Amino acid sequence: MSNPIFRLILLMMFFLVPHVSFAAADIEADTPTITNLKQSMQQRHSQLEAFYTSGAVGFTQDGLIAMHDANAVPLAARQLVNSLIAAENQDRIALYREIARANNHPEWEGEIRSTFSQRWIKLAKSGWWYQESNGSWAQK
Amino acid sequence: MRNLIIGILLATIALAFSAYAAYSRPQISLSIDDIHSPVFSAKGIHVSLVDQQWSQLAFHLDEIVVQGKTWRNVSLSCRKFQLADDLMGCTNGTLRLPDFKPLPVVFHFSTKEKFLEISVKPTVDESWQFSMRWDENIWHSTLAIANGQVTRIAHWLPDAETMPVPAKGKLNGRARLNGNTDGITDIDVALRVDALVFSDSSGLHAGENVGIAINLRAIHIPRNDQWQWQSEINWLHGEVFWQPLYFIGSGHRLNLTGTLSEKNIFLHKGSIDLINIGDLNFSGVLARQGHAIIDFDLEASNLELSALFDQVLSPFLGNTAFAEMAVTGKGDFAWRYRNGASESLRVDLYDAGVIDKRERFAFHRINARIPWQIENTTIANISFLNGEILRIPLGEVRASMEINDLNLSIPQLVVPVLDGKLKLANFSALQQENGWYWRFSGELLPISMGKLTEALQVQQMHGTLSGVIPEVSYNKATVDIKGALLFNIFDGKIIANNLKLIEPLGLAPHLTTDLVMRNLDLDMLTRTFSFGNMQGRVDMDMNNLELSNWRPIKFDASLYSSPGSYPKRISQAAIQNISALGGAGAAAAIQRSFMRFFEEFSYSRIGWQCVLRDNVCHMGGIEPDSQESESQAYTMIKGGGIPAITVMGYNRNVNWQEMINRLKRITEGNSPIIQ
Amino acid sequence: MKNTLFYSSFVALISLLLSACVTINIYFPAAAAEQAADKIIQKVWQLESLEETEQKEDGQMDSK
Repeated sequence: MSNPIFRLILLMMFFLVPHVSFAAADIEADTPTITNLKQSMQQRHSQLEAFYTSGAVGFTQDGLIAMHDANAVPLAARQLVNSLIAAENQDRIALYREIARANNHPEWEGEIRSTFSQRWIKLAKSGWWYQESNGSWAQK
Repeated sequence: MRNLIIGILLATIALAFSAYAAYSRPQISLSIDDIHSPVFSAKGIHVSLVDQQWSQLAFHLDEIVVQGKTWRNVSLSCRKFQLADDLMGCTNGTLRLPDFKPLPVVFHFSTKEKFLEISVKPTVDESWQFSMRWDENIWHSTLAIANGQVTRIAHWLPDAETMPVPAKGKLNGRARLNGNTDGITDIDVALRVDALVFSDSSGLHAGENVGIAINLRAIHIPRNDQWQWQSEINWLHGEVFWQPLYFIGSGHRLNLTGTLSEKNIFLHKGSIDLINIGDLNFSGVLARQGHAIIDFDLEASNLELSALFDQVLSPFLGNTAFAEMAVTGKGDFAWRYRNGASESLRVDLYDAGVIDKRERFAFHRINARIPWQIENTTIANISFLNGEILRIPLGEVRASMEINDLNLSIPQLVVPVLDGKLKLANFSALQQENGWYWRFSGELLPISMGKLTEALQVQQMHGTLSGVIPEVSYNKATVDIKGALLFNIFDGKIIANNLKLIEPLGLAPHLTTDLVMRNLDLDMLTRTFSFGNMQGRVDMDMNNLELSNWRPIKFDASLYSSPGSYPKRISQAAIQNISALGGAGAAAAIQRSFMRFFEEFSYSRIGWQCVLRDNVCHMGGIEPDSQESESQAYTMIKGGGIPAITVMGYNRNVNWQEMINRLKRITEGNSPIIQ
Repeated sequence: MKNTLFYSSFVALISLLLSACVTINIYFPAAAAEQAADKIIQKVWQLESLEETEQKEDGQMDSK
């Protein structure tokens, strides 16, 4: 008698767990918009990378980038850095919103943003600058 | 820069005051009290004369405070000190300031002749000369600087911690201060700064190789205790980055005339002449405390919009969609600000153009007269010759817009779109807490699909697009279209309902709609997409269609043969293509050897269903979707007549992107060869 | 008998716990989000990664 119950419960478990974990493990991040944004950011990265390395630009706590040390850039190039930062941040904000939307959870935007913020910093090359949670700058 | 000027001025004033302090006590005694003045204060003053002829002087200050900056242990010593009757002189003195190398000093002081001269020559070609003369009631002082190093006065500048600090630079010129027993009566400064390098610690406010000529005159009016002043500042050369602005070049000029009272700064007439942009004239009243603007008037005409936008406006637009625009044309501006609030604004544009660098929108030959007045209704006239939005060309538009505070309305407007027209009625826009809100009702007069598909750079199609739109509204970055767009296409029609555009001009545009397609002619459809020939008619419902960046990411589609009687034929090539679409599984249903004998086949019904989610198309056929095993076959084409053909699908889940790629290959002519 | 009953209720409890635990995950799949983020960052920064080399191999297979 207990055997069928046990089987039933086991079945329920198998039914429940894979199904749920499927829903949990899946973050959709492959829409045409995301592809587009990735391309745009990848292109810009070839310009930005030198500024990450020189310390001119660093990663903020809110998943964006910001001017860290303008002195590392010649005067005439500082405005270019500004506009690169602005364009990159526009793409990043759009990316976070689009991922949230692609998963039918627009309210996840903030969490996706903070996840990204941690991962950008985690994957940053050594020597690049980032902002710590208290707002101060640190170097990888 | 302003602070530098003030600093130089204050340094002069400080020197003048020290002399003035001496002047008010014609006799210099050996023990001097602490000195307090509005500009500086000194404590612990010791003067000692040693040697029998008093030929050596040692002068020491424990503490001197100038501009909130404190120096301790300032001393002056003189080896050859002359003291005869009423003349003091030193031709070989040394001034010691903390943080500085000892500076050679020469000074002469006479109570009888009533003059004081101090000359500091830090290097061979650098000199700072201060002289002062006086009689009973008035005094005159002059500071002349030749090749003076700016760094020497860096400490004297106000707010040294927060303001950029000069690192290099040369000063030439003079400053004159005249006064009487009541204080300073007039100031006349003519200075030139060259090769100035300055920066704050962050590098966000910095300049290099800057050359500036400054002329400043100010006269004290005792009657009302005001200062009348006038200044000219010429930008000679150099580059400056002042977050977020960057200026380089030469010839920019700033002229200011005004009065200064105890409470306010009155700017009677100011003008900025910016090379490549134009002249801006302004006047106003500023409160000295808190630097708040009370009144302001700005007028500028014939400004070059491209340089104005690139250099002045776009740096401030940073994270908005408007930062990435190229602007051309000319414009006039007038702004009136009273008692801390804007009263009126006028913007006139002449043959202006804006082009988005990401190709989302463009407008050419814009002419506009846009007046705005607080608590009043004004009429703006705006027109442009042509433009485009999301690659769709727009023709000439002329609009009269009513402006009431921040509520805008246009009663009637016609926008030519390709060869059709969008007629707008009752357009109104207002700014709300979460951004702009606007709405209008409209009517779309037929646009030819040929031109539209060409503009959008998609597969050429023929037919027309038209629509009656009871309401289009924009709120929270979403355009909501109530009503329907009608595509008369492929001899049938497609109706788009519940159309919604989310961030249409943003970086992540989305479109959602429900499409109803009826009676589409398969012959025309298959020819258009060179898919192999099919004859017949189909209906399709495509609900919950969502496009991301103008590509589908989600829909519930179901296609079936239209009711009615019409020829139903399908070519061999089309069958091959359909089977290829269904993946490898579908092809298995076709008897290849048998097919070779016929070019065309008959069918009785077509049915295809696709639910697209997460890049996977869940397919079905003619039969209503069964809940059973996923691998079960479904019928896409049911045969009928002679020779009959039935196409079955076996693969229910197909990767959408793969399917699209396959479809592309097919329509590009790379259809599989039948063996 | 008693033993198996106990055992089954134990399993039921675990499964309940599991599903409860998973429910929290559904709220925001942090681990999956991290993976998705890494994938995107690797793409944008052109970092070599396992997924990418796999994709390259796949691409070669396709072209054959």
